[in-house]
Amino acid sequence: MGILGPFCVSNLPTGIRVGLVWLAVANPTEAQDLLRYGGNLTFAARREWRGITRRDGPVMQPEVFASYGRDNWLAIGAGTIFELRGDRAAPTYLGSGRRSFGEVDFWAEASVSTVPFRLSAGWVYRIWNVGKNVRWVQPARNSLRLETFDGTQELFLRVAAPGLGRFVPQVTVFKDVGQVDGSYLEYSFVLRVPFWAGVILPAHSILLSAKAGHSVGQHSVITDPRIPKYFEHGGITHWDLSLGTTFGEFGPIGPATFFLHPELHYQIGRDPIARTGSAGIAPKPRWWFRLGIGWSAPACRPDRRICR
Amino acid sequence: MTVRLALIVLSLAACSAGTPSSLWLPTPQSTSPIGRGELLAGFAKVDITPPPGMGLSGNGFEGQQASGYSQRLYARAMVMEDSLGERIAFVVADVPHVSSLLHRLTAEQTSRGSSKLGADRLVLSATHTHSSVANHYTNSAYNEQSGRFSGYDAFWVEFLVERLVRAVDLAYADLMPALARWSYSEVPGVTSNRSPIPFAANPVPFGGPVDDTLYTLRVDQCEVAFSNCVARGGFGVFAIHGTGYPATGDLLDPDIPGVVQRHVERAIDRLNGALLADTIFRPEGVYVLANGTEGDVSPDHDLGTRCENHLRQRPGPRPRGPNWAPPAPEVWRARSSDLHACMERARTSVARIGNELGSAAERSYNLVPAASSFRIRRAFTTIHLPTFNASPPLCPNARFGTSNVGGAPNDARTRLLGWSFLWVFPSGFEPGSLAVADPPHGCQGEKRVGLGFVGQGLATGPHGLPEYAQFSVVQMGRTAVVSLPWEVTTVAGRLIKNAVQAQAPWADRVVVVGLANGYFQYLTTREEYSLQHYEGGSNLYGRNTLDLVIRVLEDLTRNIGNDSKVGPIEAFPGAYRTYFKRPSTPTAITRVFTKVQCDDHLLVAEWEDVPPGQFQPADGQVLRIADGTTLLAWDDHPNVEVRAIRSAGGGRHVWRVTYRSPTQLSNTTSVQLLSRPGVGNALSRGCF
Repeated sequence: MGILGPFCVSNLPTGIRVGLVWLAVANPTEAQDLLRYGGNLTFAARREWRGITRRDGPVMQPEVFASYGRDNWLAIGAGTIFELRGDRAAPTYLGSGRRSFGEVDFWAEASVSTVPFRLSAGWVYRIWNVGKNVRWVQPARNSLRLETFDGTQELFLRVAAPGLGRFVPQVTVFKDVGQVDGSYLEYSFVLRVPFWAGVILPAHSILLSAKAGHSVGQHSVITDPRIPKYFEHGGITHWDLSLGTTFGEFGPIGPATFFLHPELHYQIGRDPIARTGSAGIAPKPRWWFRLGIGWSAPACRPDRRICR
Repeated sequence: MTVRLALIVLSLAACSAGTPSSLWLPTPQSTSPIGRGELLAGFAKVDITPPPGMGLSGNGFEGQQASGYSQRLYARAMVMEDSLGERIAFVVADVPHVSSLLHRLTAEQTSRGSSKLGADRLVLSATHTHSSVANHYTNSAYNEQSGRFSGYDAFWVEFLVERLVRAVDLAYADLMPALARWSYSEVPGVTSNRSPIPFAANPVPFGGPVDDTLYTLRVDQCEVAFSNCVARGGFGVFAIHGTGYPATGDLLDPDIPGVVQRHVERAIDRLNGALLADTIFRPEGVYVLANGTEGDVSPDHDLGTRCENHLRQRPGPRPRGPNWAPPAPEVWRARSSDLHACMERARTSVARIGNELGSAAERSYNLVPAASSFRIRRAFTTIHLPTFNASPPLCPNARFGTSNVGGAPNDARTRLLGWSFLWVFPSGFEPGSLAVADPPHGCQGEKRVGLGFVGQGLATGPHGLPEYAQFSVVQMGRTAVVSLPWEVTTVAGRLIKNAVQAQAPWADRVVVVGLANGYFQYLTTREEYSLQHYEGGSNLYGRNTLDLVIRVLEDLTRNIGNDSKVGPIEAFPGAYRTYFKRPSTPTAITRVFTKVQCDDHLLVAEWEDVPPGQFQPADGQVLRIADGTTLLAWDDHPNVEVRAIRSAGGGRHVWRVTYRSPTQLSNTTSVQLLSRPGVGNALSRGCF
């Protein structure tokens, strides 16, 4: 057998050829295995965190994880924030005009499914800045100040109901067990509107999401002002409406899967801090955008052994 | 879709024109036979079950990775030689399809062996089980798209060819004086026409919606001519798709044909007075069951056995973590509880249909043959369809239609069936409707070509779809057996039979064996083609293909018995991948049971053994389920499933056997692992 045309279609690597066919017609189910690893790389126009604009400029948020299990799993992960623009007019984790890794999080999560619910519990250790011991506090109304802050820890509990189908309600509670009193709750509803009836191709659905943040004891009014707080008032902190979709997953190109998820947000702050975010940001509803790239791979290569 | 297609076209347009990797297949010709003055027949059966881990084929990308096996896969062979020495071999393998590549490589070796059987005297066909492996096609598009894993697996081909050759050689070595008798019976109620609308579009009268005739050739072997004869084997043809198990199954299995073959083989053994436990595992009798005009014929499935219907888009598995992460794409999954219940129903349905058909085959087989002349003649040809000067002409390029993409509704659909943008704008991935080009244009006429003509050509690559078709007509007594590489619809099959019958005054009947000596997807009538349902959309060379096929078969029938030259075939198998685990030197280990659980009707046991590859199911019986000294089942039984579960490290692998007992298990039930040379110790573990 001779190879006579190195650039012709038939001599393209099988993965590429099959991938091209699949790009045109279908995406298969994700190769499954108990042990998976993967990551996300998110580009966001702003660093929005619980309704507060913590960085009024573009940021990259890389994250990696490893998980064990399929429907019920244990997972560990680590993520960070990288500020892309050193803008003197806007505060950063490092101070005006500096850019670097702004935050590092380490987390662990366990999830179980019982139809229609999915219950997740976890822990996260947040370091607001790497090596700089700078912390971010809100000691007075309508202001933010960066001070030394080693980080904090939270326990979180999430209840979702993906088994209901296209309409998925979800509640997450973050209980701070480190530097900040109180808890933060997040309520969300996601409506999945399929592009295609019965088909995964190439973006399956439009995801319409409505989210609300809720501070319980994480505001400066009810406790000692010397203790770091996030918000000025208790109760609803902000509303966030979003429109997104997921393009992917390109499984045939090796065992790894890749996907893209663009999301457009419209955010309405209720808490003064959530409304203003930081100095220089107009206290009005605002649009922002982010694009996530996801990747994961089974520890098992299905072309080498049996993957489950 | 348009954007994606444009990207593909642009990316591929950058490729320079060239010739893809190809090889010319051998042209093995049979040696002229010398008669021995009497009818001879021999049978053999060879295990072809690969180790778990390969991708199941026949359902395209919807197929699963094989995690184990239930009934084993076999290649069954019948070799017959008439009194003048004319010789023929029929081999049927438990695979979805065979290929001209497999046929030629097998014939190359058998032509040099003792049987001297070349490609012109070897009919190799498939049972068409969709629970088997097929990375063995002549052309790249099928290697890439017909199964779970893409690519041409040379090691699998090497293994399969070796076993096919062994089957022919053993059958030849088994030749003995013989008696043969054809019988024909109708078996209603086990099949149905899955495309009734195209069927109804054919001119009337054309008989029932399916060909439910079971053709059975009983062969007895005799110590000397016509005396002291005993039942030895049989050759049957029946039209049924190998889709009893849905695409969600993850076990290697010969499907309904496997149940039928075992049913008749045990009946043959009973006729000979044998019912020993050791012969049940691999009966002495051999029933070679080929597929007929099954193009539009599905098993008459029980309700709720199409498990694809439980598949839904569901949020993909991915941890969320405490911060925002892009939500995973939805995946096409079924709830495990739904899937489990559905597969149980499918298992019951396969057993019911298989046993009904098996009982009918047994009744046909019980008609004892008498001494009579049995003439064998054959005619064989190879045709290159793109360049064949046909009138009316064929399309010069093979193309499948958009209706092909969605699969066959109610039988073997894909997730793409009924695809419509925002529930409103249909794609044509459906039977009829937008799959029909309106107005018809170009050579493909009513066929709306999937991805467009240029797009499909680029996506499948040059020579990606089959080009060389092998045909044969074999006189077997007073029956003409036509073999061709298509899945022939019921009415197309009747037209073929009528045409051949008109040229064969010596024949009482004409039998069509599809899926033989290659694979070309579907062959339909013009009327069926014009409606572009699944079968019409899978008719590659256009609406005139049946005309050509009939003309070629008429010529062959007229020239039967003359010399048949084996023409060349150029293969374009595409990229090579390795999925087949070649048997390696086994590592001797001490096997241990890690779990045995029993309830009233279910036994589940796990044990540590050597890994897949060293654990080669094709090389002998692995285990038995027994109640005291009474054998209940073994690892070639439809109620037994053997799966490779996980690596246990240190060159050990955990395997699981599941046995569903039709009767209540007693406290003396046990699992017995049989000793295998060089692999492991014999081991037994009680249920309670």
